[in-house]
Amino acid sequence: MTTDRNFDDLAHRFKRNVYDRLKGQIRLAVLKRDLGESIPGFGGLGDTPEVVGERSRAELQVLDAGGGQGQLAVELARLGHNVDLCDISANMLELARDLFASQSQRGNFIHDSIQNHCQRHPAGYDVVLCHAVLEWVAQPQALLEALLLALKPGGYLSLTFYNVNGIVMKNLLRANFSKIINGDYRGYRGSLTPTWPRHIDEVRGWLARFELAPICHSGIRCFHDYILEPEHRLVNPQQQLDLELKLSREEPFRSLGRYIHLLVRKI
Amino acid sequence: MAKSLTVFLALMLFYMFYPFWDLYVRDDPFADRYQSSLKGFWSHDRCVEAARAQKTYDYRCRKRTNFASLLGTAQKFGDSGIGRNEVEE
Repeated sequence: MTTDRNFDDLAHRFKRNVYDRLKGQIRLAVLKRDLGESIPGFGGLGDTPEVVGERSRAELQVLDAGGGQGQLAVELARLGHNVDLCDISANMLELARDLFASQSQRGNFIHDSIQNHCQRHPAGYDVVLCHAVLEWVAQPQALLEALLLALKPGGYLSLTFYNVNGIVMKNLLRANFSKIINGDYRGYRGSLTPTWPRHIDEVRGWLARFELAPICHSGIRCFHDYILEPEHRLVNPQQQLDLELKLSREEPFRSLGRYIHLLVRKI
Repeated sequence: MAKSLTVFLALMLFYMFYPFWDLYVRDDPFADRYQSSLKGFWSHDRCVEAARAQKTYDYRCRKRTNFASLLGTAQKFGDSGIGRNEVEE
């Protein structure tokens, strides 16, 4: 496969299998904490609408690149920011539109590739989110270049990607040694397993080519997905969430996260 | 006529009670279940050969008779049984 992945065919499966479960909640919790702590104006992420309403609103231009169903974007809109959500999947955008409407929020829904949109809006955004996209694109460095082009100087890029360490570890736990020996980590056609899981050092190497200041580095789901018994994954969800947040910045757990979150600032 | 009927019955019995083998695979190590891949192998060895041809690392070959399938009593196995639509992020 040499083309970027469009999720038109999987939009509803994504919603059911990812976002509606504890795994989706952990992902959002880590992202909200990281962004809320680091970006001025994002401090209210996770607050109730009443609390948000009392805050002074500093409007930022936010691009959610490959934003899918807009779970995070809608919260940023609720904080008063101007959110553009760009995705090549029309079905995903439709779900995002429904989510925004259900929460009486406004956003701009752009049906286009990230690369095209960024080229047309140089230095157009204060914050660019690009979550769980890098592992699906054939030319990741070109994508990063486009994202940074769309970012204003001083703006923030929040990047998450599927971590190859997770696949290695889980295969080891399942005694699938051949898969590790052959270095074959690609998902089969039609699955939600990303096509190109990324190495942390590889991505950091790509980012090092640009003038960026590192702000934050976390692992997302450092142990939850490794729990072998599915029913055990449902035990004490709040404790799991608290521990995931705590361990997400502690080695060696951070490097075992299913996803890695890197937040950088354009100098 | 009787001979034809006997042959027909013999073939029917064979089709209903011969233990065919089905291949189930788990390509995503984070998936809890195996997914149905190919069905109806004549032997366990053929099923294993098919798995290797697919370069599948994590698979199960499961014995099944059409009679059991018809009654819905085919046995379940694996970490948590078999699910056709199990997907993971």
